Amino acid sequence: MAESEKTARRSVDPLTLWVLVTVLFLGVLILIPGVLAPHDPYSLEVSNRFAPPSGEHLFGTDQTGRDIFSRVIHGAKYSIGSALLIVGSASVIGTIYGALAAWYGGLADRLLVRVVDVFLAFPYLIFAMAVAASLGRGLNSTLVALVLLWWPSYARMVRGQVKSILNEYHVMAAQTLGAKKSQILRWHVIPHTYNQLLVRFTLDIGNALVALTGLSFLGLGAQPPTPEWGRLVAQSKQFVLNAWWYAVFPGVVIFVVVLNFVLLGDALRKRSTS
Amino acid sequence: MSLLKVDDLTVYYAGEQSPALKGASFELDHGRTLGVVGESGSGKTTVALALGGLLPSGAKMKASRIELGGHDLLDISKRKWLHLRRSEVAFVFQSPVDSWNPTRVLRVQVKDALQAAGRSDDYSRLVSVLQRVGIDDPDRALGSYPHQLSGGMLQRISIAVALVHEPALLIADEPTSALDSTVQAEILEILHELRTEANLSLVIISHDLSVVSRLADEVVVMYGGRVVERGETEDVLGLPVHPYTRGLLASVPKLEGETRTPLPAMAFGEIADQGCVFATRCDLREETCLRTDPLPIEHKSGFVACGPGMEKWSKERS
Amino acid sequence: MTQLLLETDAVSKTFGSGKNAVHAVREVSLSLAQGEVLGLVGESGSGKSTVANLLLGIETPDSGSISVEGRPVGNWLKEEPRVYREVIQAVFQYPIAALDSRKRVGWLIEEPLVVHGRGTKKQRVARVKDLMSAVQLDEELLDRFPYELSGGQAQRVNIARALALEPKILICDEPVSALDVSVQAQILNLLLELQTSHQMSMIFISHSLAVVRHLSNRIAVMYAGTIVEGGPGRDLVDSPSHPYTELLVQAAASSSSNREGLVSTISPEGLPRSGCRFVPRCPLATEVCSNGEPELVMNSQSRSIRCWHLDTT
Repeated sequence: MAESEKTARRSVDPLTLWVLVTVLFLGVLILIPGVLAPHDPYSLEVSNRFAPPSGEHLFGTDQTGRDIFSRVIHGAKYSIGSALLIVGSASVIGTIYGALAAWYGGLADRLLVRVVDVFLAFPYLIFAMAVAASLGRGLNSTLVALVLLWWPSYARMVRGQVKSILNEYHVMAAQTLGAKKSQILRWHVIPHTYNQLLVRFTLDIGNALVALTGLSFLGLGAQPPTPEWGRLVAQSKQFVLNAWWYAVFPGVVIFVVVLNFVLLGDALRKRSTS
Repeated sequence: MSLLKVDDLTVYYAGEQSPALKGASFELDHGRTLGVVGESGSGKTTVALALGGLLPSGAKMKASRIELGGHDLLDISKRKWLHLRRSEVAFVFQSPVDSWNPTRVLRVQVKDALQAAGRSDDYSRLVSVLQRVGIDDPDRALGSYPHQLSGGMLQRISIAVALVHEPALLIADEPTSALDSTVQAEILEILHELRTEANLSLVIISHDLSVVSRLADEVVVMYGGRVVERGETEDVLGLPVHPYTRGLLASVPKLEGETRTPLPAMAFGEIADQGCVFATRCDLREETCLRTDPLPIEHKSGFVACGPGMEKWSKERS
Repeated sequence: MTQLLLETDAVSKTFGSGKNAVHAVREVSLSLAQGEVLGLVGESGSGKSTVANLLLGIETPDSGSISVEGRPVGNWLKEEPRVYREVIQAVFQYPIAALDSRKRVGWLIEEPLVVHGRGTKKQRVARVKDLMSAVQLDEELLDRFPYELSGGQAQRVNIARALALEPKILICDEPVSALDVSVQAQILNLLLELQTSHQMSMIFISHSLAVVRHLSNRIAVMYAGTIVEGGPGRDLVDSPSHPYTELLVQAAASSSSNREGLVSTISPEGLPRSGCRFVPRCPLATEVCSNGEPELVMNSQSRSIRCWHLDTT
């Protein structure tokens, strides 16, 4: 027994390592991109426009001679940062809303569920476009639109979970002890939603990234010269024939990051259900 | 000739250091009942799984002999084993409610179960078997959903389905522990009757001494994956030798005698890794018990794996 | 044993409505004196756990009244629910499930003290240690999670949690039936010791007559939501009066190796909607039994029985 505990401590669990590497890497990308980016993402060098990938410019340069590699790295702040912000706000709002709905039940619950249903009934792209258009173009209004779209699915998930956890044996035991409603919710219910919430959160970062870059691509998100990834791909589309690297590298980066989150979310789900 | 003969059966589960079952030996004659008593972690369910070829993948099984109805189960192919299991061995498990799908009528589920076992023809005989296990209106019972029937009824149906192809051996793992005491008594009575009527041999596995004592001719007492005592039921449960068996019998509340006095409870302790598995909880523990595995000592019709226990027993008799 | 601590008067509880209504508890009247252990025995569906839930305020009765220390529980729960919890505590059947799997043993035993604002952090920590030794739990287990405990250890944690508030009444709903046989005796001994040393009153619920008999001063036998017989524990088991009690005694007694003692009963399908609910399984049933439900009648020796055949039983 003691032996197996020791070995378990020495060897690092690969899933934990994966999460750590992802967090660390994204942390650097978002907080101190300058460390990784060899060039200033905004400095123009017109003489060197459309330079193909080389040792100096890993991903080549764009129509004004800016280093695409550096722009992708600095763009992470806008793209992944925004995705984190969207999913983060949505999950906090959704968790509180869903937990309250489940807790109060009755009419309040039914009303809250209807509100969620209304939000979920909108096709997201059209809704986001409408909101973004009415708030004015720009990253901020797109963020607001996506958070508005995203929280109801969390509310629904958390409500369902809280409802079932409330019926669990240990909650009844805590009630018999005399714990207050708020204490039961805080101590015995909400922490039990964390596992599923984490899985959903991880998967959704990928989804939010796709949604955000998609809207940016359509011109609704970040505005030039912000190197947001969807924006980069959008700008590249007119040059795709003479500068393939301009479209391909940012596209591949989006793909890899989304894939990482989806696979990670899947791995976390398998862990939490086993 | 005995129907079932097991010698030195050892089972390791995947990734486990210590065996779930070690060196278990027992045999069972035609028309007899063997009771396997033990608590959680005793290895009693592993016995059932091993006999049924139902061990999870990754589990390792070793034995010097396993024979069923004259067939050597150790050298036999998977397919033949499966065939044997279908024709000679049947199972009844603990939870009568959980083993049925709540959304479907029992008739459909029973038919599916028989079909999956390749025994669709047996369905025609099922009605008479259901009557034999005390279901007066088999058509109504089969036309019901599981929730419309009591646990006792469902367990009767499970038994009937298990017995419809007239197996030689029925292995019942905690068949009544999810049932109320009065219903439990009925189910045990049915099993008892079936044994005599259908010349059925029975292995009944339970944590409950009373269940085993009611049905079994012979008893195997298990602790920590070992058989600690074996013999005729009257001997083992009437005049137990092993300190674990004695402790178990003494600690159960009775219907007569003093109340509201402390029960002679056994001490708490983990299953020992070395020496006698029971040494950590034993009041007869000697120094050797902590180091060496006790050897089985022949006693009456069976054996006892405890030297000090045997000594104490002899002293008390003389 | 004179002062009545708890009393229920014709308490009823029905789940569902119309055709699907389940009359879980029907006009149950119980009393519990200071320092007394009352055993409730019956099969699943007899309503014994619903009685526990009604006393604990987990369910509210449809009719009838419950009073503790002479105070109506319904109002008490509305006005000062937490004071009521300090008087009455419970230990449940599934020891590990009753503990929050994300909390450690130390936290779980401290929880009732925090909830009721008892003491400072330091005092609470000391009290947790006292409680652990009172229920014979090793202090090493303080930092364990529930799933790292054995069933017996987890039940000791539950008992420590219930005792933390020093309740006057402890409700034990099948506290040992999910435990291994050799552990059952330890937990029963512990409950008995604590009940005696704290002069607690206890309602002890179990399907096992032998277990109930061992701990109880008085026993009430429940069948189909009502009490069919009540009386002093040993006396009731030695000479059962109601045919159902007799059946229970027989079913439990045949555990010793006399196979002849086995009972064969009618399968318990569908209880009658009127008359005596035990009719389909009763060897004494006559026409009169189906016509109306008998009253619970007190006969000699402080025994009460609900049966039309009082004179013949």
